[in-house]
Amino acid sequence: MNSTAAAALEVRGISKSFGSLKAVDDVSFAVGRGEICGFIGPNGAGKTTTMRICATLDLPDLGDVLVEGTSVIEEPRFARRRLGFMPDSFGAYASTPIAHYLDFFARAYGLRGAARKETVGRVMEFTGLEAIAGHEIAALSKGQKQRLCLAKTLLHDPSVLVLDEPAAGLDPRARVELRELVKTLASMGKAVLVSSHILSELSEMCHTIAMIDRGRLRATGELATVARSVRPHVAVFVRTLAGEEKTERFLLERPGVANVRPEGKGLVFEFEGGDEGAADLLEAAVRAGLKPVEFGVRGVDLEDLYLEITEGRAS
Amino acid sequence: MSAAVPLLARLDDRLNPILVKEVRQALRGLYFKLTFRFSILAATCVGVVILLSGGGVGAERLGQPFFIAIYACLAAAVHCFVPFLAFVSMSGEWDENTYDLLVISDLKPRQIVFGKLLSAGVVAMLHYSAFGPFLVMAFLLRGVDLYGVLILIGGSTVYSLVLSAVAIAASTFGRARFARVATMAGLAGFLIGATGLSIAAAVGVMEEPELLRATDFVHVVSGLSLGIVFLGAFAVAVATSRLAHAEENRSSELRIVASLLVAAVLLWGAGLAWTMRTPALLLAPLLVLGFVLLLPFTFFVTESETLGRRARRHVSASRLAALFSAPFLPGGGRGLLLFLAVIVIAALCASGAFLLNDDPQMPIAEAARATAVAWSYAVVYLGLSSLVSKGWTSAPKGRIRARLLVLLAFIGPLFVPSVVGFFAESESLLEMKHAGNPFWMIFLAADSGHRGQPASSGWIFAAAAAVLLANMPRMARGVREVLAASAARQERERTGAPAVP
Repeated sequence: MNSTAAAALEVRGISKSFGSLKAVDDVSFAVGRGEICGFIGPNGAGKTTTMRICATLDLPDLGDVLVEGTSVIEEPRFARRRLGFMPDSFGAYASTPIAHYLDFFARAYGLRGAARKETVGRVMEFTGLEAIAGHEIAALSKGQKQRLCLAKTLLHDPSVLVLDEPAAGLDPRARVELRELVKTLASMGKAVLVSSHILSELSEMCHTIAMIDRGRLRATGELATVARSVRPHVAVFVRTLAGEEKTERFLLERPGVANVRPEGKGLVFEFEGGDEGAADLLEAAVRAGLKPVEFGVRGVDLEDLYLEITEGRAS
Repeated sequence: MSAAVPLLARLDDRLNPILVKEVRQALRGLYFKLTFRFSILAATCVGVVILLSGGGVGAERLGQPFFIAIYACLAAAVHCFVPFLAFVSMSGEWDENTYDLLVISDLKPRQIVFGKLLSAGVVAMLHYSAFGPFLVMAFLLRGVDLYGVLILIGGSTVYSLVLSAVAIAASTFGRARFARVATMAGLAGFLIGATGLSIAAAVGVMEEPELLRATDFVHVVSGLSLGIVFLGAFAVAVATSRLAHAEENRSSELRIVASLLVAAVLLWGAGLAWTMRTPALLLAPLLVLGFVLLLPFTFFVTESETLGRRARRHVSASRLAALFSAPFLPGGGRGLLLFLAVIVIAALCASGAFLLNDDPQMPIAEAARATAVAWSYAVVYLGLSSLVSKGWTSAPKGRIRARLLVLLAFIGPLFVPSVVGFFAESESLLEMKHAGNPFWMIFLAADSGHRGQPASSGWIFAAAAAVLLANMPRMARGVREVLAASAARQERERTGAPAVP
């Protein structure tokens, strides 16, 4: 998110130390409405501390977090009404039925009478918990518990969601379901900050990323922009009817092309010209009579990017 | 019936959410089921044993031992099990990772604490109603004073709530496992002792029912009740403060409770002096108050000096209101300012008692001097320690060190001379007859009339005045900060900048 004017969640230069350990060091980024921002970093990088500060649970030593333009430090109650936080450790009263649990938190968020019953029903329907409303929490599976925690997070209809490792420990099916729920929430205009270790999950649903390592923010912005800042080239796959040798010769003569290598029935090369340049290259290949049948810019591999950034291969 | 349904629904909506959740959980929980059944079973067994050993239902005055036995079972339930349930319930919020979820909801810390307290009250009421038939039977067996029974049950209900408040406050300390176990053990010991006191009171009331109608005894009981109620009020304020966000104002509520305690003690003392026609009696509670206030003020004067961002934003725009609110706002310097204000009020009351005293036989001058000595020691302990430690209080660990220093300022001069006396073979030092012992100095001041010589207490007055003077710049800075925050708010309101964009 480049412009902070429309940001629903804005982290402004926060720092937090625990004794001599600097857990978060001058971290700034923003998440806009309807945007999903993936918060990525290894264990102990400062993700949870940052998220807890956003959720008003911890206090930064320096800096501030704004929720819809209001400081979470100066007006924590305002921030809490607009922010839904899903912690990494699920808090639940084990012997309580799902419906009672949600009813309690609906009351805690000030929902009254018919509105409370309607809201509890709606979030149970949205998260697929209706059929098991009477079950005690202790009897739920990990995936059901995560959905219950998300349901609780949505009760007061927050405009900003902060989800700390929501997919941790879920099986593939539950992960897909959760991903779809998060996407739906973003399409409803909610700003979502989500952390996860499963980077393939994040690359499929996030519009932007914020990458943190040892307390410092290493990269932030749209995935493609971050990728370009780390690696100016993109990987392009091409398959032509003119044969590999002729195609390779053609490619090596073009500016911005490097590291051409065979892959499957075609060639893969690194290209620095951006989308416009790639379109020109394809047009030139057609004019040169190479008869391209496949030509595509490869998507950004978040795992590679993450390793490059956190292992110091890129600054 | 049809009209009652919407009313009940509205009432249900108005109920504290924590109360609803807690009662639902408590009634389903194993702890309540076990303790409830155990106490009823114990009461039944004890009742039967007393009836059999006392000659049966028709025996003379069997009601008294029967009531005491049943009350002992009831006291164990409502003064021990129920407060412990409140402790377990509050601790459970940390154990089950639900504390964070409560804090980020719309619930205020006070609502959380009162919800827990009210649910403890509901559970206690269940016990009282279950014990109702036993108590009626005790009355029917004769030998029981109804007035005494009503006083005991009423007092026991308030006592149960106060103990639950203390248990809830205790649960907010020590969230690490070791600290939790230590707190739990300490609380269990405290509750057992408190239950013992309650049973002893019941025995006293049953055996000497006429005591309840004696004026002196009523004064003592009302004073004790005041102390117990304020213990509960402090416990609630402490728990609320501990649950509040770090940037919230965590101090004002405690300061208000401390000020109310001062007002209540003064009123009680005035009532005592008025009914006994002895103005000097007002000085006795004042003397005790000087030491009682040491505990809360140890925390107030060792708070971080600067106002939090949130507290600063909420300072009144009116300069006058800001000035009057300054002693109640967080900050060590402002804590001392409040103590100074309390001293002035206490001195005014003591002067009033002095002037109103028309009995030449009453040693009012000695009593006033003893009270002044007590307060001067309190000023020195608080003022000197907080002056030394004012640079530490910005960090939590520094604040703990500063509080320990106040404790050290009290304990050190009290015991070190005795140790020296042991090696130097000085009898007076060994017997703690030295200036480091405030109680000895108070005794000397109070006894000076009998000995026909004035007490040498001038130096402690001088020390207290010097400490107050040395702390003046700090207090002034505290007021200036509040006035600056007031001016900033005035400016915000003038420019139309909203508090919440």
